[in-house]
Amino acid sequence: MYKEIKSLRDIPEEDFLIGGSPTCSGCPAELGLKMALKALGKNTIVVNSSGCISLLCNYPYTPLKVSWLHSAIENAAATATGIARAMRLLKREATVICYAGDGASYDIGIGSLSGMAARGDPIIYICYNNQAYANTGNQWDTATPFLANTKTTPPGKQSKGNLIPQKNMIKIMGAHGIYAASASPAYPLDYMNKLRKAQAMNIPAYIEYFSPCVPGWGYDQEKGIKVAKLATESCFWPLYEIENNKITINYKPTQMRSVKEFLQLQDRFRHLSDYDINVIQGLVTTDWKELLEAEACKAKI
Amino acid sequence: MKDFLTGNEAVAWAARLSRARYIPNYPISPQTEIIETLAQWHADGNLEADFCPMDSEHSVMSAAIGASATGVRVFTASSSQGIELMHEMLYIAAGLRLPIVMVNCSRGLSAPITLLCDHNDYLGMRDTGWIMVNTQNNQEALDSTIMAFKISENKEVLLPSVVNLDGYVLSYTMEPTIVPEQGTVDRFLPSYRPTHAFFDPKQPMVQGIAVLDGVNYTHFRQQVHKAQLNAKRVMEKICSDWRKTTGRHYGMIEKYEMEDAEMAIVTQGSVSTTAKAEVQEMRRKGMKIGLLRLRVMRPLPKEEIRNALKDMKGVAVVDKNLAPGLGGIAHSEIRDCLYDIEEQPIMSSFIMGLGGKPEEMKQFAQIIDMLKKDMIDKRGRVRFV
Amino acid sequence: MIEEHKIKYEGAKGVPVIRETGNATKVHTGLWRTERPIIDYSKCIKCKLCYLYCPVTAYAWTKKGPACNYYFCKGCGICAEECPVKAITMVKEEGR
Repeated sequence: MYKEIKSLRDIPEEDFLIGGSPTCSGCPAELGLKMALKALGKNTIVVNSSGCISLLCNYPYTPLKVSWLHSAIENAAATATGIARAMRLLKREATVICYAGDGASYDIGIGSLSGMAARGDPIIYICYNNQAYANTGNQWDTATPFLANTKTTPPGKQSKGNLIPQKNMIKIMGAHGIYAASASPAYPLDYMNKLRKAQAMNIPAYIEYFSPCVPGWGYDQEKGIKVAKLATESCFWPLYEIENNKITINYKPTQMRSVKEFLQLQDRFRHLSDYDINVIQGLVTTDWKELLEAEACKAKI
Repeated sequence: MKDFLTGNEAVAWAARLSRARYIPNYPISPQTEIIETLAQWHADGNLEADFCPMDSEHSVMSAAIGASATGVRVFTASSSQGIELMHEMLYIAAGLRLPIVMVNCSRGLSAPITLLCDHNDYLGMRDTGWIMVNTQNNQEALDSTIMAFKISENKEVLLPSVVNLDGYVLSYTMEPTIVPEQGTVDRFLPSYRPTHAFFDPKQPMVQGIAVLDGVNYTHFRQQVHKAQLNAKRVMEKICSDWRKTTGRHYGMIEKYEMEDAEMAIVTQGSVSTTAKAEVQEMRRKGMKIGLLRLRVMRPLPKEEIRNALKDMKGVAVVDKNLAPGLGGIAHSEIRDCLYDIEEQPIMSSFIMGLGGKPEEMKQFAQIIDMLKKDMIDKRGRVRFV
Repeated sequence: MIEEHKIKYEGAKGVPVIRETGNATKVHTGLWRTERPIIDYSKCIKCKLCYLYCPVTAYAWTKKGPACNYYFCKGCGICAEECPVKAITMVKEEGR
C-alpha cells in the first residue's frame, strides 16, 4: 500500500527543503515541511497559506526544490483543488499538498478547507499548528489553548489569558469522512508514515502537525523537540488518527506525565498559578479519557 | 447556427466553444443559468471540461488561480456579491499574470440588497489589473468572451479578462444570436500552452512569491501596467481578426452618429441600445447629437475617447453606477481623457438605472435638455435621472 | 523615473516566479548564530537524529556521519539537545 519508513536508517536522503530560509532559528514549522517533503518525494506541489512559512519564498530566493504556489491566507485548500484538477486534466502526476498554519485552517480558511474535504480531491492538507497567529506576532486564534498568553488574550488585572476553549479540528475534519491525524516533530517516523499513508489512500487528508513557536511560546530555541515530546507524553497533544470516521490512538504513553512539565517550559504559561495548572491538568485528563473511550467503543464521528 | 439565446446561454456557448477546460463555479443570480447550462452539457458528455462546483466565490477564484497557474484554460462567472467576496483574489490573479476569463452578469451591490442590474460590481474591478469589456447585446457577449481568451493568453498581455453583460436585461433576455462553428473557433483560438507559469514536477517552479522589497515590487507592478498598455494593441489586432473570421467587428469604443455631432452622450452596456434609439429620434429632429459607447474600460482607450469627444461642446456621461461622494465613475475617467485639450466640452454626469431602475428613451431627451442648460451655465453637474 | 510607454515589457521574465528552485544557497544564514555545533565523532552512533531534526538542513549525511554546513547553520542547538549520546556540543562563536 505505501512504503513504510521503519526506522531512522530508512529515512530517504534526498532533501527538497534546503538552507537559506528566513525563518526563526530552530523553527519546527520549517522542520515539518522538510520532513513532509522527504516523506512524499520530488513530485510534490506545495500550496501555502499566508503565514510564517510564506516567507520561505522571498524574491529572488527560495530554499524549496519543488513547485509552490502561495495565493492568500484562507484558500490553500481551494487553490490546491484547482491545481489537483488541472494536473489531472494535463495527465501529469503529482502529490498536491497544502502547508498552512492553524490560523488559516481553523478560522479564516475553514470554509474552503471543508469544501476541499467534501469534494474528495486527493490533497494532503498539513496544518502546522503553533496555536496562534504567529507570523503577525502571536495573536489568539481558535487553536489557542485555554489560559494561554497571546497578544490579544494577555493576562492582566482582569484576565488570566485566553478563556475560549480550543476547537478540535482533527475531529471536525475526521467527521468529513476523510483521513485525519495528529502528528508531532518529536515522533518523526509516525508523521512521515502518516503522510505516506495519506498519499497512498488517494482521498483528502488532514494532518495536524504540532509546531512549537520559539518567539510565540517563549521557550529556549534548542528545546523545540523536547516541548513537543512533553506535549505528547502528557497527553496535551495526543497522537491519533481518524479513518472512516473511527478513531485509533497511535501512541499511548506508558506513564502519563504531568502537564506542568510541558507548561513550565513556555513563557506563554508563565503567569499561571498552581490552581490554574491543575485546571488545565483536569481538562487534559478528561479529554484523554474521552479519546480512549471513543477508540474503545468504535463509535463513528 | 442561429438561435434565440439568453445572454447566459450565449456566454455558456462561448466557454464551450473556447474549450475552457476547468470551470469552477458558484451560483449567484443573475449568472446561475450560465453554470446550469454548462452543467447539463457536462452531464450529457457535450462539454470536455472539469466542471467543479465550489464552496464560495472566493474559493472559485482561488481554484481558478490554482488551475490557471498549473497551465489549463479556465472560465468562470460571477456577479455582484460574488465579485466582492472574491475581490482580493482578483488582484492576485492579475498579479500572478494568469489568463483567466470571467463573465460578470452585472448586478447592483448590497446594501440595500437587489437582484437587478447596475455596473458597480463591474467597475469595482477597475484597479485590479483585469482587462474589462462591457457588452451591449448577447451576440457581443458571446463574441467578446471567445476573443477574451485569445487576448488574455497573448504573450504580450498575460492578464485575466472580465466580460460584462447586464444582469436580467441581457443575461435573462433572449435575442437572436449566431453561434460560430466549433471549427471556426478552433482555428481562431489555439490551445493554451503557457511558458510563463505552469506546474510540471519535471521543471519545478515557485509561483506566488513574497516580494518584500519595494524596488522589485514596483518592477512587477510596472510590468502589469505595461501589459495593459500592450493589451490595447493586441485587442485591436484580435478584433480585426474576428471581423475577418465572422464579419462582426468590435472596437475599444463605438461611435454612433458622431460625425458632425456637437453634443454627445456616453454610455456603457445595454442601455446604449436604448440611447441610440433616442439619438436617432433626435437626429430626425435635426439635433446634432451623437453617442459614444465605452466598450473597453481597461485598458482605458484614452486616445480614442479624446479624439471622439474633443470637438464636442457638451458631453453627457450616463453612468449606471454611483461612487458616493463623487458621482458617476465613467464620468471622472472620461473627463481625465479630455483634460489636455484646449477647448474642453462641458461635461455633466447623469446617474441612471441604479439597481435596475428602468431606463426610457425619453429620459435621454431630458438628459440633452439638462446638458444644454449646463452648457449655458458653463458648468457641469451631477444629476440622478 | 520612467514614462509609462518606455517601460520595457519583459514577458515571462516580468512574471513574479522563481524558476531556479533551491537558489537560497546564496543566503548566508550562518551569520545569525552565536553558537556553533561541534560533533565528537568518537561518540556518534550514527542514529541520524541530528540530520533529520535540523530545520535548515544544515547537516549532510556522509560515511563519517553528520557533516554540518556552517554556511546555513543558525545555531539553534536542536541537534545538540536531541543527540542521545551527547556527541554534539554548542560552542560560542568567536567575536559574536
